[in-house]
Amino acid sequence: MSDEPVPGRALLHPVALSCLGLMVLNDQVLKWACPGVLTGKLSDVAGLVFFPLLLVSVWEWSAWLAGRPPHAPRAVVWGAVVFTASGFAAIQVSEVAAWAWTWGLGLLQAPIRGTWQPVVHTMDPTDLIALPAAGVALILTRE
Amino acid sequence: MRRLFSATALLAGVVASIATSTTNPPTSSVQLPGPGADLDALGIQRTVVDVFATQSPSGSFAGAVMVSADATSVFGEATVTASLRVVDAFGSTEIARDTAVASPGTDGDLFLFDDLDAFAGCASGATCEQAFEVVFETTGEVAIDWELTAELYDLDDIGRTSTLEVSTR
Repeated sequence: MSDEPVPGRALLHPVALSCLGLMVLNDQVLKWACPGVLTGKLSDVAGLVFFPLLLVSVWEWSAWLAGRPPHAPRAVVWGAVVFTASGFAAIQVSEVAAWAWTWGLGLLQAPIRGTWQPVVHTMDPTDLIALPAAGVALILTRE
Repeated sequence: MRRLFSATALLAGVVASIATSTTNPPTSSVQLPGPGADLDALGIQRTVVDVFATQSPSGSFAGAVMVSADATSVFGEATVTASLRVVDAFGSTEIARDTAVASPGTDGDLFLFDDLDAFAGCASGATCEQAFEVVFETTGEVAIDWELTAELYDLDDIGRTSTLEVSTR
């Protein structure tokens, strides 16, 4: 068995996998079955935990494919956390960021929809209460 | 094996992030089939649609109004321009415009545009009325089917209920 670290191993942490499952379940089922405060914030928290880990994993896979050790330095983890938190905050409070987000995500969804149109996004500053969840990635990636 | 699991989790994460739902589902949604438009050369058709929104309890909400249109029959070739306008006490303001060329082989959507801030000025709750004007202009001879869809979103995520009614005048 090789002792080489697995790239993207943070995504295999039970917390990361739980957040991924929660995001999908909440977005596709729970929000529609019981709209309210809980389902309104659940995906925000799960997404803020999961997304920095996803960015770290992308970095590690890129490093591994380039023949370098698949181990993200702390600076990369911190960068992923700050990027996620600041981006999430920006689309809740900034008209320009929200506009860019709706068209940007719409572009990524275009191959599925067959047309490029903005996604529906409502700015909600109360969502900022979920921001501390982004810091969970710093704990999960601690060696 | 762990590398395979990791790659699978990465792929699932990317897909889940892209397919994420960006807001709660609308608390109310209603569709109004347009009265149709049979337009001769250089024809213009204007239809005003009134949208009434009520919610309980009152609070912050956002609305979206979408217009989609199909060419159902075309004679020769027609250039169709559609625009969506917000009507207020001082007249109307265009918020979206698109042009498409319809030919006998054309089917499917000609236009789809929306006003995501349709009820931005109605945040005080209670009942709110907003009028929209849908305008079609063409340089050819074409029949158009269109519909207007209105949706309301609860900005406070507290599960309030809302109703929407639309009518033409």
